[in-house]
Amino acid sequence: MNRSAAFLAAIALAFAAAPGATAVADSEQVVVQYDCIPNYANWGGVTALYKKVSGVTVPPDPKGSSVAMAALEREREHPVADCAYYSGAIGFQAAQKGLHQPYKPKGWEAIPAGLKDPGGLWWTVHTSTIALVVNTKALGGAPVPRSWQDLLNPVYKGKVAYDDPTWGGTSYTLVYGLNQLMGGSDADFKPGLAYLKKLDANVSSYPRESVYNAVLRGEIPIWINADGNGYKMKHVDGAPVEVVIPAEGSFTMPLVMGMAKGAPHPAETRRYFDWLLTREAQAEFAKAYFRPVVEGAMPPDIAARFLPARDYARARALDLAPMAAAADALKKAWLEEIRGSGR
Amino acid sequence: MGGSRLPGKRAGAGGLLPALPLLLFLLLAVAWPLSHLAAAAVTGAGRSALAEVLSAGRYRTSLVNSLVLSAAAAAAAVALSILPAWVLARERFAGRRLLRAAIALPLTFSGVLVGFLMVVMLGRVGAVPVLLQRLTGRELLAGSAYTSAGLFCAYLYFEVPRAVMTLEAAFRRFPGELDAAARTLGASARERLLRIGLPLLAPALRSTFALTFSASMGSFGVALILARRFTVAPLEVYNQLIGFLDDATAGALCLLLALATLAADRLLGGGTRPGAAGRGEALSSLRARPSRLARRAGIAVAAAAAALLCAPIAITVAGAFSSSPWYGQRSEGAPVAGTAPLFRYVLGLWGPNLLRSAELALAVVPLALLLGAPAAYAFRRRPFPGSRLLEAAAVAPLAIPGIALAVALIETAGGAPRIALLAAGHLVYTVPLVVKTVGNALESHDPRLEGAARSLGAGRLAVLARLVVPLLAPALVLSALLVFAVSWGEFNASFLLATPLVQTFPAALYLTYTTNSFPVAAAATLIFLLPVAPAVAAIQALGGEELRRGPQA
Repeated sequence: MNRSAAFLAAIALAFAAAPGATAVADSEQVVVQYDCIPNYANWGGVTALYKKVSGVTVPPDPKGSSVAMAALEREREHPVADCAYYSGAIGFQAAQKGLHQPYKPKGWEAIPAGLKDPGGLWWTVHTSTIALVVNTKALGGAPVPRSWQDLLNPVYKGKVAYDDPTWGGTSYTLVYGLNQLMGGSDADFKPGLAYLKKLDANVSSYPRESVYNAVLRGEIPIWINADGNGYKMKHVDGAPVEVVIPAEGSFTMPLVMGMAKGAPHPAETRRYFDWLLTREAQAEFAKAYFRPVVEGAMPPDIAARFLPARDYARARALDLAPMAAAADALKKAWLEEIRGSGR
Repeated sequence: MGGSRLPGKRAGAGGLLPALPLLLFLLLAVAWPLSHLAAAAVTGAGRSALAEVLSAGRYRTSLVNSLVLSAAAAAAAVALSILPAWVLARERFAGRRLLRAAIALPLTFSGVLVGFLMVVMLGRVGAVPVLLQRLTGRELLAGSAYTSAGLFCAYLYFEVPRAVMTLEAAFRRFPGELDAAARTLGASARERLLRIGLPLLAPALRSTFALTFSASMGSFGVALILARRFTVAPLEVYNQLIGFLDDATAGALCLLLALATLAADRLLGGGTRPGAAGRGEALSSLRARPSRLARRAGIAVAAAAAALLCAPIAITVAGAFSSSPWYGQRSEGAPVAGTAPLFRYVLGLWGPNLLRSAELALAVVPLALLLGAPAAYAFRRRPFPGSRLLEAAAVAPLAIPGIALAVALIETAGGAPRIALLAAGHLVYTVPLVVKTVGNALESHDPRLEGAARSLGAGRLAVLARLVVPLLAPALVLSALLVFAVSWGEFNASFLLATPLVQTFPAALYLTYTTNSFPVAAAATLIFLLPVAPAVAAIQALGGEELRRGPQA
């Protein structure tokens, strides 16, 4: 009898304690950002710095651009997120779908035209370029690939990875850009998909999560991703990593922020957006080798470590509007043609 | 299990009252949300998603892949588990309990943890290929974790413990005296196996196959980490739900997945109903002893299974304490300056998630007991019209993929606080364990005791407080431990129900496996295991067979 009484008392106690603990955790100041991957563009460092200067927590979130957009869409009636971070085209698409509310943060004028929505539905926070991030030690003696053509060489079998483009915006930029580069158009995805189909023979995985550490460890020797992630591996983490802008050309990519419609913490979000355009925050992104959107925010020592300008001359900018318009169809086509073959 | 009318087991509507909360819960948290998903699948927007899924293409491929891989893995798991289960059930030897615990520990792992362990072992720079490279100088098995073979290994990893637990319970009940009698009558070993052993064990083997098959069919976390070149149905469900917001296709896939697992359970299951437990043990002196060689071989196989299951955990956890370059470096800035700072760092990162999981378990354990235990009592002692149906309905959600339930919940009750939805998700997968555990315990107690107490003048409450609850105390404690273990490890539903603000520890594990360096991931894994290992030991000490229905992998 005593035993069971104690047991019942424990149950009652648990009931009393649980809601109390929840209330405490919810009272702290937060901004919820979808797609806030600590190892991408130094969001881990940036959000830690923001916590230090403002006391506001921006928790990590593993969603890629497309998943972030889909989550905002699903939660339209009951918004959870305050804002989201995307690669340009997907942010553009999310704004078109009416998932954003306008806000022009302080320092808005410093953002070049074309890198922001005139109405303030999205704005670029930094830019990057698609590159081959190569862990030279993990190549197993194979030469460092220099071009898209090189990547098709069977010596790289099982050594190449690029993120699932239906998930991550960086990879969507890659797939869209490759199709343009290979002679395709918004009505014709065949040239790009044909190349990716050939590349598929060498691809080990189409990750949906950050594989930053997998590349560092050599689990993935060649990762097609943002150049900044490769520079950070090399210069911050001291890994044997080389960044290559492929000979045939590459693509630059604006990375954008948008404030979610119905954001639960609007005032905090606006303050956070204001801060993201400050020199302090922009320099923090630059530490991860993502190019600040604000002119002059790039520290000279960081700038000196990028590949020479002639390499970047091969990188072209992509027009966001047609890229956003093609997104759903191209992603489906990629899924059917490349991933769907599912060995 | 109704049927036989014993004193103290009265039919009537009176039993409905204790089962009412369970009924309401099932309607609210399972039937309503899932009917929404099913309706989307059947009606769709001008087309039948069900027809599309079944026609040739990626969806059908994923379903076929799931079916074939799950069936193959289940068959292999059953075959591999027979000997270890037999040894654990029938032999007494030093270290037996440790061996059992080692084999059972992976039951509490979520799929992402299993997936990570596979990458550690069979990734491109996994322990096995690196070792083989050192030994042979050639690159062997590198990256096999990401192939269908890797997925097969991962399925085996969480199926073998389930199969061993299920078969062990069946073997305990195996009437050894029959075998002994046949032997004294001159039957050969082959005859005894074909005429006695197999017919008696066939139901257990079939139901073990059904259980492990279902576990693989619904497995999502493993595929999330591993299935890069190979698609399975739960992953397509996730693609459609999260990537394309196509609830109709996802609903159709879920419907077919659930049908497959329910069919497997209907057609093959039911062979492990606990009956006269321990009968085999009581008469063990009558049973023929196996040869010393067979006994040793059996123990060796069981030990090998335990070692294979524990090696990946040991290698992973060692990463928190080792500075070997194989584990790679910490990429979060500061170098590892010893173990204590590493753990402080990890707690700083994931402390809130740890608290959230603890808080959730603290709420889910009592709620699951309150929903499940009274209902189980009603089912066994005061059956009412429809009580068997309700009991089946309470257990059926175990066959529903956690991701499907999560999305159905968000779609129908998205406005509720997420912590409440998380608790509901955990309850759906834990209440069945309480119903089963308490039900089994009631089955093993003589219902006439309660009648006797009543006839001696005890009131209904007195019988409950002085007789039923004390008798059930071990089962209630066991249930609480089971609920805790499942809630602590649950990933599939929690992952989708979580928001960045309300996130459980297993969801944080996924984040840490994908964004943090190995030492950090290893330390987080160890923190996850700390409460689980003693819980598993306690569950086994109490005979918790239902642990085999641990969190979905």
